[in-house]
Amino acid sequence: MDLDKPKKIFIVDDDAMLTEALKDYLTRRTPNEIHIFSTGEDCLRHLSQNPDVIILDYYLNTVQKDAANGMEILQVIKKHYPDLHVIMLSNQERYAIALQTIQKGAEQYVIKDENSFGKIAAMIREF
Amino acid sequence: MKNKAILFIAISMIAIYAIGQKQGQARIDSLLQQLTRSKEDSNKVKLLNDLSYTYRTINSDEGIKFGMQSLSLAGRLHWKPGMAKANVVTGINYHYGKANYPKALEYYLQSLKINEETGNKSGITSSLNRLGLIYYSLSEYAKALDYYQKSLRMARESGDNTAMQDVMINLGDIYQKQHDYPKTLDYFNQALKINQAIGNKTGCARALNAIGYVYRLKKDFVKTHQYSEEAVKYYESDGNKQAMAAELEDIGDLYRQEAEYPKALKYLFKALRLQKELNDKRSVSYNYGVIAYTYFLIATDRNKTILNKLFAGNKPAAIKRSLTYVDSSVAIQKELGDLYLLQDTYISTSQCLEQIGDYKGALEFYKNYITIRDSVFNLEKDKKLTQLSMKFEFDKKQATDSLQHAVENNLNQLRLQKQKTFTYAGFIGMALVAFLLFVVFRNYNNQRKSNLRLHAAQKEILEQKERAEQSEKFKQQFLANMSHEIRTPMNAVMGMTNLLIDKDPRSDQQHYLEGIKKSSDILLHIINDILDLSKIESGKMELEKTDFSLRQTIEQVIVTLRHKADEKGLYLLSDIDGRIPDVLIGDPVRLNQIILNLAGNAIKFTEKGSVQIKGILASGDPSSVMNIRFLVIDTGIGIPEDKLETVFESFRQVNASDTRKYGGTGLGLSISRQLVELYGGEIKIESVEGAGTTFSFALNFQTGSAERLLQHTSSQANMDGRILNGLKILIADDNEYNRIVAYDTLKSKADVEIESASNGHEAIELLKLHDFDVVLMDVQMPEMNGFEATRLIRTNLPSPKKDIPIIALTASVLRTDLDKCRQAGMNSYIPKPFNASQLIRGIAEVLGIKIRTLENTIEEKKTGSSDKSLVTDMSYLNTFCEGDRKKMQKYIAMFLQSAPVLLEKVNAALAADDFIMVADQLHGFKTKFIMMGMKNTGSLSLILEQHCRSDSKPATIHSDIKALLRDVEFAVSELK
Repeated sequence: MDLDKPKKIFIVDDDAMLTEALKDYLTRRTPNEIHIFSTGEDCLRHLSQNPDVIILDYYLNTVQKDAANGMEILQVIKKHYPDLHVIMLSNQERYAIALQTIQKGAEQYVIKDENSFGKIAAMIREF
Repeated sequence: MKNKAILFIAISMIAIYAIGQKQGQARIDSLLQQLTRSKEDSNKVKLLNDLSYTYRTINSDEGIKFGMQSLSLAGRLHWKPGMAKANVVTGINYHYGKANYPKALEYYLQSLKINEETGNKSGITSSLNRLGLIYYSLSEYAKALDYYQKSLRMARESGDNTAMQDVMINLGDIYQKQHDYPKTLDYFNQALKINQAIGNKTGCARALNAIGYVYRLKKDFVKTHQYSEEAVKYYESDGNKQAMAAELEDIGDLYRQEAEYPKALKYLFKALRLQKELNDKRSVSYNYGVIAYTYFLIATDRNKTILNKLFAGNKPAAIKRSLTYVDSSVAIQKELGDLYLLQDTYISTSQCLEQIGDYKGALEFYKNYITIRDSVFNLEKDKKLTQLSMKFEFDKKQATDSLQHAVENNLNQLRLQKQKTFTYAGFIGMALVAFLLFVVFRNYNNQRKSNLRLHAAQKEILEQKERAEQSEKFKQQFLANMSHEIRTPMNAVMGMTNLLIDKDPRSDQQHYLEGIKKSSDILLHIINDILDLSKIESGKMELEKTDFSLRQTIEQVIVTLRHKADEKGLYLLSDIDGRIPDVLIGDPVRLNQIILNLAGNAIKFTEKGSVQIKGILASGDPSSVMNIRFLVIDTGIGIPEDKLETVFESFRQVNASDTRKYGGTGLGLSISRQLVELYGGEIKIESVEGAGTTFSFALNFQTGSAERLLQHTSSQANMDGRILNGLKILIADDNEYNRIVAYDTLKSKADVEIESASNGHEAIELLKLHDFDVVLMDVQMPEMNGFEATRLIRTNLPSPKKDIPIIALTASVLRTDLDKCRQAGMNSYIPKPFNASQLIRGIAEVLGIKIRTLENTIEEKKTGSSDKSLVTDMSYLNTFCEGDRKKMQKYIAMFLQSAPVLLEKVNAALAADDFIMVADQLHGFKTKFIMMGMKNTGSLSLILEQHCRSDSKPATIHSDIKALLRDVEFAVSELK
């Protein structure tokens, strides 16, 4: 089987443990290029680097109260780069939220649990 | 390599298609050739009928076209047997090709009529059998049974063995539908014997298949496989590929059900090859669906052996394969224009994808489903319209026919008279013309009138519908108001009865009091029924999603109904599938209500024997979504076929006189049905008059958490009133008796000081004068109601009096009314009629007083868990890091670094009562709990985060958060 083509991946989450673990997981088999941002605004400033995928936390303003939340960031990304793959991450298993994010253009809505790393990796392989 | 293999498969698939097309086409071509060569018209009719029949699985539109041609040709020839046969084949095309049952019925009936006219016995037998089949398709089993039995009698009389075995199989099918397996097997075995005697191989196979299916229903899969395999052999030796394919598909499907997926696929693909060879598109598309589902199950099965073997453990690949088959199935369904099948495919695929968390895919399929559903709806509407206009045309035609008849008669008379006397000819001619004119005018007038009548009828129906809807609305409003008004005095009746019972009455008094208590319980039950129904009908009913024990819920039903069953000497049994986990997520109150109503109803209408409640895991598995089928089976009087539909209508029992005999409001079943529908299910009834009835419904559940359930149930236990000792309470209620009930109930359970007010003004005055701990405020009071009073207290009184906790006492349980309480500034509410426990718990909660029983359980749990095992579990981290010690250390270090920060921030936030801050802190810790294997702590954290963000926090929130922090401390010491 061919090795997957390395991709440029942005991870946006204020939980350091998650971003670190996700980075570990996504670079394990394929030399993907990972950039980590703890706020959505920071991610937006770097969009010109043309990432292939953005993994975006839904709840981004727990640490910095005035930061924009994932949904707002998603809308901005999609406005400027409608074809960019965005995977939404969330703590909560809420169908309504999932639906909203997908309608706003997210590729998929993934719940943070033991299986989420594998799910995300599989999805990125498909892009 | 891989590409070549795919190319090969693709080419061979195209080849198989081509062969199938050729075979079907070959038969048709030869028939068409014969048709052009045929000189004799009756032979043409035969060929046309044959063509129509051959087209039934290939292209039913063509089939219908040829059937109609045959019909008109045979009609011109006045050749009745040909006409009868043409009607049958056209009907078959409508029946199985188009699933247009009303049309098919019409043609079958016509064939019966013609056969009866000519006295063609084998024709009548066949028509009767066809009619049975169509009623079977329409699920009208009593009618189907009737036709089959007539057909069987006819076949016996004329010694027609082939027809006899055919009808026997159909009869067996009917009994099978009613779960009467001994009778079913009896008929199938008889059919098998006849077929063996006359050497009809396909017939033998069909009987064997049928017997196998009965064993499948009886879950005797070994026998099922035996019979099915034998059936395949018979079909094969007879060269009946179509039936063989269906049989193979059945076997495959059975293996799928047994989770023997590789075997299942083997058989399904065997069947698929045959179906393609035959160009049987409908079966191919259906089979694709089964294959797709099998791949889905392989992907999601908890036992990963097969996934590993077939897909090297790659779940997305298996899902992708499954979806390819869905696509193929959809493509054919689109080609066939089978909207019903398409609709099913879309929704079930959407549900499967939702189950695996592929919300995007689920949404796509759901959107498609909605589109198709709308078209189906339009189609149904069009069908209804066509039926109406067909009826109209039919009436018109009858009128014209009778007119023609009259004209012909007159002409004949005229001819006779003409021969006799020429002199009268002119006069008679004139009379005839006049008569004709008159008849034509009358006919025209009739037509015009019936047109007008049709319009008027439509208009009237619309008006009636509007009126009915309007009055339905009034009814609901009235019922809601009435139940509310009745609940208020009921509070006094029930409360005072309870108070008297607690006062140690004499035994004769005790007897009367028990009578009042029981009667008021029943009365409240009826009122709640009415309220529920109007809530459901106005769309205000909401289902809860909470952890509950299924077995306890069923046990509760049994306990409630036990004495009723004992009184009648009935066995009341329950049986829950061992594969269903005990704790599920759902609405236990409503589930209890549904089953209680169904089982209560069953007991009412059963004189001897048993009532059985069953729960079966119909599909899915505990790790994801389970579809659980509940059955309530009785051995009672049964329900007549024609009354089955009316059973669920509100206020109706099967016989009006039954109300007096059996009692009840007649609302129970109606509520049950609507609740089940609200849950997304459907109640089915199968009944044999005199033998019993089975009510069943299937609902989806997920596995719940026993831990959460424990917390929940302990909070419903009996409350120790002494926790309120020393409080000063203000009660505001305009109803004197309700004041007494609240006052005496509290006084009897706790050492509290109580003042009473009869309206909002008085309450505010009293509040100004004295210091209270809490206010119990009735919502509806004269002069100043509870909402107004609360608003004034919150705005006009000085601090800290304006912040006093206020609890609403309300007879309404509607969400909108409860929202109003909150908006007015009330802290919580207690529904009327209340009992002592509810009152104590309600007060304790708003004041943050620890509830006695709950505290005990939580204490037990804490010591239990910390003694027994560690909080952390490194197995996940180990797998995640693939055993890399260094990486593991990195994550552990990250945890150890952030834990003290969490402890500090949460403690500070708790001290400041800043729950949002607590929630935010917990939120960021979820991944850390996962990585450190702190599963319980993780789920507790999620619940607490939600509590922290919601307005209604449990009284134990502080202690719960502290417990969580203790877990984190334990984790730190374990990891250091």
